[in-house]
Amino acid sequence: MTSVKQNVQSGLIWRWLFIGQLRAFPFRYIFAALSIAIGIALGFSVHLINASASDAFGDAVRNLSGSSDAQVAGATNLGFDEQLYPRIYRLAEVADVSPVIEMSAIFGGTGERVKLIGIDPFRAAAITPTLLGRQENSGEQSAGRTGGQTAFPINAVHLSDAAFTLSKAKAGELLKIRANGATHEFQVAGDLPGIEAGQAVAVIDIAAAQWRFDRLGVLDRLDIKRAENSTQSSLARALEKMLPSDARLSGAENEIKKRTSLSRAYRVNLEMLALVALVTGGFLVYSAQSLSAQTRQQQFALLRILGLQKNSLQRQLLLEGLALGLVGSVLGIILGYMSAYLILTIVGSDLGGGYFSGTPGPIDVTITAVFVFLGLGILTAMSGSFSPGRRAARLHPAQAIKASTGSLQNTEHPAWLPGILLLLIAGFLVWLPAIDGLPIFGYLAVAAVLAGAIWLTPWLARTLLTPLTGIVRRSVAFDLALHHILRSPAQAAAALGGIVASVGLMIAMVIMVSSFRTSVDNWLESILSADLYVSGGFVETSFDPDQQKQISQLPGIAVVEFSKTMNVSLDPRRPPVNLIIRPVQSSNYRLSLIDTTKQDIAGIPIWISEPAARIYDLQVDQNIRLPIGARGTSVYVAGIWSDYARQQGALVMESEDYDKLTGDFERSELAISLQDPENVDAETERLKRQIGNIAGSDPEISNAAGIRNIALQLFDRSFAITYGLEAVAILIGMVGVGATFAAQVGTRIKEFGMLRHIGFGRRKIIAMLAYEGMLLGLVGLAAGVASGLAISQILVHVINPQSFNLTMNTSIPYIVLLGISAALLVTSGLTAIFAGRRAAATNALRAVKEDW
Amino acid sequence: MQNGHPLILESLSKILPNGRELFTDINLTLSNGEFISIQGESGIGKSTLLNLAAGLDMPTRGEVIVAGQSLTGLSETKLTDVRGRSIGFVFQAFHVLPFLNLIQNVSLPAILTGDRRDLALQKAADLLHEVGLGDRAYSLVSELSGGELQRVAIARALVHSPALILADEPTGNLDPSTSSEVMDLLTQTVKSTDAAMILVTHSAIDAASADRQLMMTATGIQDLDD
Repeated sequence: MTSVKQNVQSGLIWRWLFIGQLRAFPFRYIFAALSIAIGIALGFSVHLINASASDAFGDAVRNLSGSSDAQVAGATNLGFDEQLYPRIYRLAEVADVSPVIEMSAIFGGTGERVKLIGIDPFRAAAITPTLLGRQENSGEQSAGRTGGQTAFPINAVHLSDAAFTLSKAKAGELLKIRANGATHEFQVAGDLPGIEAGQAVAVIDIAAAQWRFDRLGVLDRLDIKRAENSTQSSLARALEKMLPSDARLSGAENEIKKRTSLSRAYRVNLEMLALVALVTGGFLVYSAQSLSAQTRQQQFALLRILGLQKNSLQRQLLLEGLALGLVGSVLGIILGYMSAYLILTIVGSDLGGGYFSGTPGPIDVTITAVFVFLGLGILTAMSGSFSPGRRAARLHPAQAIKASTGSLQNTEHPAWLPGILLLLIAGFLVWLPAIDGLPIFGYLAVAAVLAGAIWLTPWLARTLLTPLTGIVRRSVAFDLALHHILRSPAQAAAALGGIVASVGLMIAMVIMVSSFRTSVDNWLESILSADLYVSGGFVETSFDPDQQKQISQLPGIAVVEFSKTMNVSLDPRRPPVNLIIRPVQSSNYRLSLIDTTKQDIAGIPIWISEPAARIYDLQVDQNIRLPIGARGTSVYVAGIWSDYARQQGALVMESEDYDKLTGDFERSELAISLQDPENVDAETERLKRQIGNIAGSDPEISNAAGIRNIALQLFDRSFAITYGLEAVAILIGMVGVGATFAAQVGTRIKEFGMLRHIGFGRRKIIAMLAYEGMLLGLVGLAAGVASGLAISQILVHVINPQSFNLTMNTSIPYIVLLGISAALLVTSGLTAIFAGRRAAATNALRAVKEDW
Repeated sequence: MQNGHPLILESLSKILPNGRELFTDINLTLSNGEFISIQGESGIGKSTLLNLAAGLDMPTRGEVIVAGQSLTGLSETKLTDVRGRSIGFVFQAFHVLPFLNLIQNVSLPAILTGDRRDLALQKAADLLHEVGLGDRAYSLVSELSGGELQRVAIARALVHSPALILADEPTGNLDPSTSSEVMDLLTQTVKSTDAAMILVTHSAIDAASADRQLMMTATGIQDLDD
């Protein structure tokens, strides 16, 4: 009972003390709460935007899949034999089947892309009614209600709202659609009311799709409805038994999972980056609370003497952290929601990764997410308050009440062992594998390095600065500054926590991005060996052997080589890999090989990309089965090449092998070496015209330099959000330097008053503080750079390979790092001067008499 | 008021961590309402003796009994509890929390020992009235002079009706005239209760206002009245 009563009384005292502190130092607390708010706002908005994009993608997939219980899809873009359809239809577990052709297409005229779907309306009516078109002026959907008459003429197309917008066509008009190398005209018959806004879909009759676009005898998908007396698992078992090698069992949820798994590492990394700002905020709370505890050392001692228990005192600071965290988190959640809304409205849901380029869904705020972020903010602020609270509670009240501010918290020999232990733990964590594809231990290692570096800061300050005492003897101001830091390394650590965290993370990110970009640049340089690259689009345009022959005879071309890219599913649970058909090493095509076979193996060779090797755990000389042909094809891994373009993995197969296997001689891309490479611009224009005449449509032609520029632009775009998050973390860190130093100077007014009494002028006090600022900045910089270098290696060699399945070489941007270092030192010095001017302006006599 | 003598020091010795023996075998018993003063050179151990009496420091040998409760072997929590309930403090440097108003400052010890807020504030208001600051109960500390601050500290030392008041050079920061006023107030206010008081001071005038005057030297404590 007594303890309950005492808790209530402690609560009252806590309120008095906290409100009193708030009144005395409002900016210190406002800044600490804001640093938490910014971290939470970034994390929450990234979470909301990603969730919105994922939801929109999921809705789109479910929308197009209707109420099917299962789907059978082609393992490659070549589809599968349509004879599978009647065989599946006859299964006892199956009630109904709707066959589908699905292609990527381009609208003639506007050149906009659309998903072209061919359906049998009578079959689709039962399973995917969302794909049924509505006749213009009829108000009725076209199948199932027209008494058996085909309401789907062979040349009719129904467009979704988004497709209407992209095609600029009106109902009744003729619309050219290009797919699979052929262009045909269709009459716009009506719309697709069941398709959700934002999805560009065009639906035609399945027979028209097969006939007009050279897909006779094949299907891309079967949407299957389960019989009432069967179960989902029995249906899956029955289907799996009869599927040929070139078909895969699929489903809407599986598709969603595959796509979201592709982007998951990117999303998690973004959220982690956002939380970096929160971690920095946590260290700034630590700095603020440490300083606050130092300032209040005598107050705490008094309270302890008057009867406040040790635990209550520690709780006091923890509760302050909780209050800061609560205010910061609530503010952060509101700011996060507002920024997510603005970003989704203005920019869209693709945060640079290129995974979700469609229209975003509405913002769906879940209570769980709100509480998770609220908890994170509070936990961070409370963690930042824990150590200062513990130190305050451990103070000896009798000594502390007579000591000058901060003097009791300093140690002559700061402990370094816990810091070293933390670094050793980080060293151990980096060897642990990813959990479910996420580099959890990598992130823990980053946290351990940061914590270790901050722990070692007092030791580092002493180790780095002690030698200066014997060297520099010219300036009293410098000597005083140096000795102040050396005698109070713990105070230095409090000021430097935020700096070390923000500088370390900033430098790590700068090195990681620079390493990634340099590796991508070198890779592009090594693979772009032709002068020109021609793409007819992914599958919309293809060149048959006759067209290929005509192109190779065009004047001005020294060497032309053709290629084709298609999707191949190696594992139904994962997104398909790209199968690239081309010459492997030729004058126009090169692979940046990491590993290659040393044996002479009989069979069909393929060269796999590094991501494919890591995702599917494949090694050189290993045999795998590709889903080409009804029985599949056995191939062996002849080499592994580095690839920064296709995160889901890619395989390269020699053109001749593919031709023999499939009899498919069509190609959709070509690489050209010019006879006159100096005249590339004029040649490009001429060839574009001539190849366009042969292909019947305008191809996209790019030169190597152009592709490289575009690729690097795309790279920068995909890292734009990370640069943004990084900038915010830096900003918080820099403002933190200022706020922390100003607060620290504020605790020493009495000292400055005394110095002025003994003849130390204002200028000398300002000079002393400038020296202190710069010396502290130097120590913070050393710890920040060292931890930044260590963290960058964890990012480059652990987190990135585990997240994105690719490796890179470290590239340190020395100039940028020098710039950051100089900026930090200047900021520290300027902040110190600014704070010093205010301090030196205080009435010296009053300062000396001031109690607290 | 607790049972027993407000303070008993039995065979108290203190050796500093550096091996220096500060004092040895000190015996002292205070009765209810008794006021003693201790004088002595700087560094002789006067403040340490007060710290030992308050349970803020531990003796090397001997025993401290406050209001019938031996401090030997008590946990930190228990020591804090004894201190909070049984001892009031007046410091040289006032130590008044600058961001609280006077009534909040004075009521702190009562609230810490578990008094209801309204009761604690009422006691604080009464004591502020007694020390002549009744009309300034809601003023902030920054508006007060040194003498007024020490009056606040005196009120705070009494608000929870302690058995023992420990005053460590309470007039050390004040001018002679204010010192005299504060000393008179401290003596009268404490005398109006049943609390015992130890005054540590360098001022012979202040020391003279005590019932017993002790002198602390390197050899121990001598009673100047003997």
